[in-house]
Amino acid sequence: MIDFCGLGSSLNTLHTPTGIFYDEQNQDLYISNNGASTVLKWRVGAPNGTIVAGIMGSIGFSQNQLNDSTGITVDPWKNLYVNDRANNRIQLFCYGNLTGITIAGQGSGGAAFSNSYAIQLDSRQNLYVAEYNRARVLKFNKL
Amino acid sequence: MIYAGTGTSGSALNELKNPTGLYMDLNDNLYITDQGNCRIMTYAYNANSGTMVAGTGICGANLTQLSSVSRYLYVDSARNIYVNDLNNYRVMRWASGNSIGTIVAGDGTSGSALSQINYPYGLWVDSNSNIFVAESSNHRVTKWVSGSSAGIIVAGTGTSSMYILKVNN
Repeated sequence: MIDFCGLGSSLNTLHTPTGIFYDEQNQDLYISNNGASTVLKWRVGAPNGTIVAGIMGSIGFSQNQLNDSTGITVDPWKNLYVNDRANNRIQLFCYGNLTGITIAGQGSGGAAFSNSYAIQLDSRQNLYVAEYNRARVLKFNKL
Repeated sequence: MIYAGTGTSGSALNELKNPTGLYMDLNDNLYITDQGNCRIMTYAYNANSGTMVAGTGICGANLTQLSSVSRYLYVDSARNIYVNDLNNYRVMRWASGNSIGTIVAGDGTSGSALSQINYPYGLWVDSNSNIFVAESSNHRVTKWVSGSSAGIIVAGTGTSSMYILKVNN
């Protein structure tokens, strides 16, 4: 009997990367490492990255897990926003914290998203979410 | 609240169809990869409808067009638009106001050579016009120095994983 243990992916590999954000001043790439259920911060050209969200190889709905992360963005204070697509929610990971907060979508008290791919922030940190299946972009005002 | 699109798929200037990418520029203009309409739309802040700024609304592979599958986009400070044109295996750049784009990454074929891109999602352009492409099917992020015909791997190895197999007898 052969057991397949996890998706694999060590910190020097990527597994199906999707969204990226580049902090040019610090030469840090933030990479939505979809296939390993993590978001990595990876200095350009460095041999490996470090996990800034998610648990490697662990798909789930708890506040420290992701499921099919796609678009990401980072605000000026290095807080990380993740489009957690199969969980139909947007997760905020405050700088240095691996436990996320659901700020929109399923689990936030609002409606779950339907196949969201992309997120962005405007200059006031209002959040925008593109919903593929519903042909629209939603805006969530920052409180 | 609904900010762009109506919630019903369509091709009018206030409608979207299967949007896949967003980019907010420094002036809060929102750019949208309107994948199902093979076009890029831009919405001024709080506008009721958008303007088509790249693509034609008809899918294709010529330099004015996007394929039927396109992903994230980036807009630089001069309002040049970069788009991951996934099924044409290329990154396109439309200079601000120009309807004809140029290919700035990828050779139009699918593969893992450094001249090729494969299933690109994420896209970023730095202040020196270097392009970063997250290639989901090549498990890497490549950097394309402006004007270059090949990328340099800056994250990942190009191989996805290190499988751990446990054999129980």
